Amino acid sequence: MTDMETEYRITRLNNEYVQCIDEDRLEEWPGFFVEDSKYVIFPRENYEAGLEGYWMYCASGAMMRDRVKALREVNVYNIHYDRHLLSNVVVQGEEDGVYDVRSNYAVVQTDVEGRCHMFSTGQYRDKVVRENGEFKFKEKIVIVDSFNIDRPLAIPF
Amino acid sequence: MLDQPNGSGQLVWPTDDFTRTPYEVYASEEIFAREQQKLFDAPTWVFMGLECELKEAGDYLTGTIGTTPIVLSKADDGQIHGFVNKCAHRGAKVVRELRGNAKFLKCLYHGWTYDNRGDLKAVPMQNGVMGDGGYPDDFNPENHCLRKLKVANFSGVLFASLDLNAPPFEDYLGPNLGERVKTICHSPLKIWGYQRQTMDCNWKLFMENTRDIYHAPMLHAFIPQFGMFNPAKQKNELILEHGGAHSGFFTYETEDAAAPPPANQKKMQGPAGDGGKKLVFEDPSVARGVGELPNGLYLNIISIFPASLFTCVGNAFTIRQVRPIAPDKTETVYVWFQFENDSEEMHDRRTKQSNLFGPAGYVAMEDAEVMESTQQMIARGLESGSTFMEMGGRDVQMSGSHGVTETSLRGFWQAYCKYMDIPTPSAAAAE
Repeated sequence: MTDMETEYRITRLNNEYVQCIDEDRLEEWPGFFVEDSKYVIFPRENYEAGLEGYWMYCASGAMMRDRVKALREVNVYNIHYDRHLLSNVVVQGEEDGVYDVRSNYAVVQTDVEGRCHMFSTGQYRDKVVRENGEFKFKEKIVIVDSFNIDRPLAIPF
Repeated sequence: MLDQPNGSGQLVWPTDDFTRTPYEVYASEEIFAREQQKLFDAPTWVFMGLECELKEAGDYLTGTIGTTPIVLSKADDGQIHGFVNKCAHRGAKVVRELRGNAKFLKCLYHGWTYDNRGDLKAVPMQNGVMGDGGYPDDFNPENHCLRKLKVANFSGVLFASLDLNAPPFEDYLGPNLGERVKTICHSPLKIWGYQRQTMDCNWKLFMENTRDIYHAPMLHAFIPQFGMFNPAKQKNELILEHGGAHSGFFTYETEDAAAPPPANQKKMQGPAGDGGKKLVFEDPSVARGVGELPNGLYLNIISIFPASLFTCVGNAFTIRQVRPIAPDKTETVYVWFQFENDSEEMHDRRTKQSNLFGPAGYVAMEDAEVMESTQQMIARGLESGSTFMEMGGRDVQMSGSHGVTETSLRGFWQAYCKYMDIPTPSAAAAE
C-alpha cells in the first residue's frame, strides 16, 4: 500500500500533466518526464494483438522536445481545443522506487467553429519515479481504446 | 458537371483531356453507388494484408473491397482463401472480430457454419426437429457457400478481387511497378502493427493525394525544413502503369549527397515556404533512414488503382487499404511491416521512423486536415465547378523524372472514366 502523500503527489502529477497539455504549454510537456524515458501512444488493437504499431513513439526526452518543436514550427493540423478528463488514478504498486500507476483519460476536442466531440479515450499506464524529490514519468504508455482516429493526431494525449 | 445528353442517363466527362474533374464526383451518392459496381465489384485488385499475418491454418483477417466486407483465411491446405463476410442465409455478418484463428466460421444469427474456404459445412436444424420443418430435400449446402474471391500473393503482400475473372494481379499491376514492389519486399515480412484513421472526405480525394507529389514540399513543411526536399542531390522517377491507373514515385539519393540546397529553394516552396529556415532535431534519426534499397532508392510511393497504397520511405514501410464508407467518409487502414531478419538496431530505427507517417505523422498529419477542408468546400459547391490539373502539361505521360507534374492525377481520372464507362465528349459524339 502506498502512503497517502505519495498517492496524492502521483495523482497531482497526472492532473498537472493533462492541464499542461490542455493549456497548450507544450514546451513544458517533456519536463514531466525524466530524460531517459519513453512516451508512446499505442492503439489498443495492436496492444491486444501483441504487436507494436504506435501512433506516436518517443524513446527519450529529446524525441519529445523534437515533437513539440515540429508542432510549433512546421506541422499544420485542425484548429482545436483539447480538454482532458482524467479519472481513476490508481497506484498499483511500487518496486525499486518505480511506481506502477494507471488512470483513465478522455479527450474532448472542440473545433474552430465551437463544436465538440469525443476525440479519444483510453488508459494511461505509467511508471513514475522520484528525481531530486520530484515525481516524474519514467514511462507513459497511452493505450487508446478508440483506435480508429477521426482527426489528425497532433497534440500528445 | 457530368452531362447526360438527351436525358439518356449516359454520363459524359466534361473535357476531352483529364485536366478537369467535376466536383460532383466527390459528393454524389449516385456516383458513389456506381463506383462500388464499376470499380470495386469489378476486375480490379485491392490490398488486403500480408501473408505473414496468416501463419497457421485457421488464421483469418478482415478488410473491405470498396464497401464490401471481406475475410481472408488460411485453410488446412495451406492456401489463402477469400470470401465476402456475409452469410449466404440472411446476409448477417459472419466474422465479427478483426482477425483471429478459427477452424470454422459460424454465423451468429442462425448458426450457419463455414470452413476456411467459405464453404457451408453445417446448417442447424437442416433436417427439421422431431419431424417438424427443415429445409426441402433438394437443399444442397454446396450451393450456399460464401461468395468467393480471387486472391493473389505478391511478394508476401495479399490482394483480392471480387471478380473471379480479374486478370492475374501481376498483369494488372504491370511489370515496372511489380519490380518495385519486389524491391521493397526484399526479404520475409513481419507485421509491426495497424493504424486506422477515418476522414470526412471522399476516397478519391485521398487517392489523388497519394499521387500528388506537387503538394508535398508546401503542405508538409517538415519535408523542406528538415532537408528532405533537395532536388540538387536527389533523382526522381515517376512510373505510371495500366493506362495511368497506377502510379509510382521514387526518389534516389545521388552520390552528390553533399551538394548544397539550390539557391532558389525558397521560390520553389512558394510564398509560404522558407527555404532558409531549418528544423533541427536533437534526434534526427527519426527522419533519416540508412540505405536499405539498391541505388540509393529511399522513397517509394506506389498508388495502386483503385484503393491501395505503398508508402515506403527511409526505413519506414507501410501499405494502406483505402475504404470508401460514404461519399464524404473514408477509412484508411495502415498495415506496417518490418522484416524477419532485422537486427535490433534496425527494428529500433524503423520504429522511430514510424513517426513520419500515420495519424500523427510528421509528413502526413496535414493530409487529413486538407482532405476534410477540401471536402467541405466541394460539398458546398456541389452543383458546379471542377478541379484544374495542368501542372506538367495536359496529357497523361506514362513516365517522368520529377514530381512537378499532375500527370499521375490525370492518369487516375483517365483510368477512372474507363472503368466507370464515362466517355469523353469526343468519344460520346463518335458513338
